[in-house]
Amino acid sequence: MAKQTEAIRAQGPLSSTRRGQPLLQVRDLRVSVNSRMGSYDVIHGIGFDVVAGEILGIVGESGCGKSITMNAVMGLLPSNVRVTSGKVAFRGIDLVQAGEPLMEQLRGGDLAMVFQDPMTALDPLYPIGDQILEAIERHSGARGNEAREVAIEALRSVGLSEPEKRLSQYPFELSGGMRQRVIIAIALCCRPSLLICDEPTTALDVTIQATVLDLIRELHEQLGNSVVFISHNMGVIASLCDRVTVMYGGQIVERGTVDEIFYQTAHPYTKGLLACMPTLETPREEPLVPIRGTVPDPRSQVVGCPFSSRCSKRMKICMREMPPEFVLEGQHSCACWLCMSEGLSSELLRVPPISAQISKEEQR
Amino acid sequence: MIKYIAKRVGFGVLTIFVVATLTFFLMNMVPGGPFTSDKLSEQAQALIMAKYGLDQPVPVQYVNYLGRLIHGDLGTSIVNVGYSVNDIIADKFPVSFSVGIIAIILSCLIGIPLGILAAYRRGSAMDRVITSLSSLFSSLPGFVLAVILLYVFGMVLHALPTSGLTSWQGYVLPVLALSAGPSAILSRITRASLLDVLSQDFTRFLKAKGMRTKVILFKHALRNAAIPIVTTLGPLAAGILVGNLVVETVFSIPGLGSYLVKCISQRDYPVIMGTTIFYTAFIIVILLLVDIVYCVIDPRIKLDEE
Repeated sequence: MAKQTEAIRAQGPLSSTRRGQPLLQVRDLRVSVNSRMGSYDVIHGIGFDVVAGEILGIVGESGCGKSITMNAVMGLLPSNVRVTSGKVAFRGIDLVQAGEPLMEQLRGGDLAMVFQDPMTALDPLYPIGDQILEAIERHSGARGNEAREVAIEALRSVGLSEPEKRLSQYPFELSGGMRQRVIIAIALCCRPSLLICDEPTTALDVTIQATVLDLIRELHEQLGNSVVFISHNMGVIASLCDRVTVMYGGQIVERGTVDEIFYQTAHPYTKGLLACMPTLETPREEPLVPIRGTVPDPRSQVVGCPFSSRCSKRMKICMREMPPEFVLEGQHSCACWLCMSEGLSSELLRVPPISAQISKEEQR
Repeated sequence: MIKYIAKRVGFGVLTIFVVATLTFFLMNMVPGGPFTSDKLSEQAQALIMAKYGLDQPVPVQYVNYLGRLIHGDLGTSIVNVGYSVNDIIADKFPVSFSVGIIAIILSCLIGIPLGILAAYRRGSAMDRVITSLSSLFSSLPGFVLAVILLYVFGMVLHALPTSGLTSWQGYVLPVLALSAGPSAILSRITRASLLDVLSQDFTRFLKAKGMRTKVILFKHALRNAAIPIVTTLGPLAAGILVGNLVVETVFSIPGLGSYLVKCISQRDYPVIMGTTIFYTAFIIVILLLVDIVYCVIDPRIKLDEE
């Protein structure tokens, strides 16, 4: 395992030299919701990169801001939710500042997204072919037979049998797994350099889940595109991703390579997520360990670490101040005061004023 | 499809039979008769009643009527001697229909676009204005609006004729009076239905595909929103096309609606019966058309399925 980590570090996402620059750079992204009660932040200034050619996993419970973050990147936020500050640079274009016409061109073209529920993601009244062709015709110059060929090829590439026949079928004539394949085909038909998958397997049968995951991995290897994979399932993340970002309460609490996250888990929240997953070795009688409590309501202004109310290793400082992200070994970093001593030895990602008082309290 | 239509026609005939029966007995329960008058002696009244078969017991009259109805004969008018009910309907219905069809087209042209606009600009001042106007006009009784229009345009401004359909100007006020309510109802249904569709997942996926707003709105959302719109439009259109009793009376339009009012007060039994049966048949046909339109809109709807 250590060797593997070693290997990743050697060529790593730092093999970006080979695979190119960071494709997507999110910096200090803040998203807030306007409601009748006033507006409140749901994403608190997060930043991350997606390197060309990698699969980045975003994990967290429901309500942690995973989907909101990626919808903000896509410019698909509901009308009462908006980006209040920050930058989302995609191939040098700031998507936050880009107008709707430019976003329309990017979406479905170079920047694609697949959603959770395949049963409702297609227009029920138009044949599959119509729905894939309109995307192809919108983003490529292809028309008529040429576009049809592209569509057939896209459907074939996602493993649908008799793609020519599928074109005239309606969504209700296909099963959930087949629909998700169609959706992936639509998302990938214009060869996007970034594909965002928002829990694409959550609504599917377990048996179908595996085949859809395999499909995403295969297509990723074929096309060499970047994938951002949102999930709350640590198992799925482990099998698919190169790097992982763990989100909690609208903040990034831990990030690193898959090995770092799974074998050198630093944040108590990540440990909690892993602990509630059964393994083959877990004795049948042994109950799973849940994370007690629920995700804090974003409307309540949390002071300090958002996880502190549920954390078994909570210290006084956790309720007072949000920890900065401490850089650990390799690409691993973690926003938890417990990582401070370890993290201080290396460079800090974000350096907030840590007063002498706090460090004293820590020592006590 | 043909099997389904045949089945529906069968049920339609049954419906007509039930409606005819109910109307017949209800009509005979109302006191008074076509010849009740101080000027006629009781003897003369009895003679005329016997001539039209009205002296017989009601059940016998009913059986006789059904016998004629099966042959498509709706009888002759008692009051307007010499006119068959079939002729009267053939004469009056086109008048009501010509006003009604303009009114229903106008309602669609006003109501549906306003509904789309309100849904698209949801929460804006525009939306609030459209929604308020829609509530106002859908709750305003037709006769109130008809009288207001009559007073303002006819009596005060002298801009438009107040009665009859002799020129195209004659159509303006009745069409306005007829289309206000349906426009309001259609705009509300369109808005609600469209908002429902726009909040569905597939709309977001269409956006994620980079589709333009106008494509999402007109190609996808509107077609998905069409079922409730057509469901509302069908009976609404039927009600207007056969002639609105109030509006026709207010504007003195020689249509079927105003004629029916007159016949009811004169107890012209065959005309009342005939017109009611005609209304029923007309509405059955419209509803069948609505069902066929459903199939055109939504491929998931199959009429022949059990």
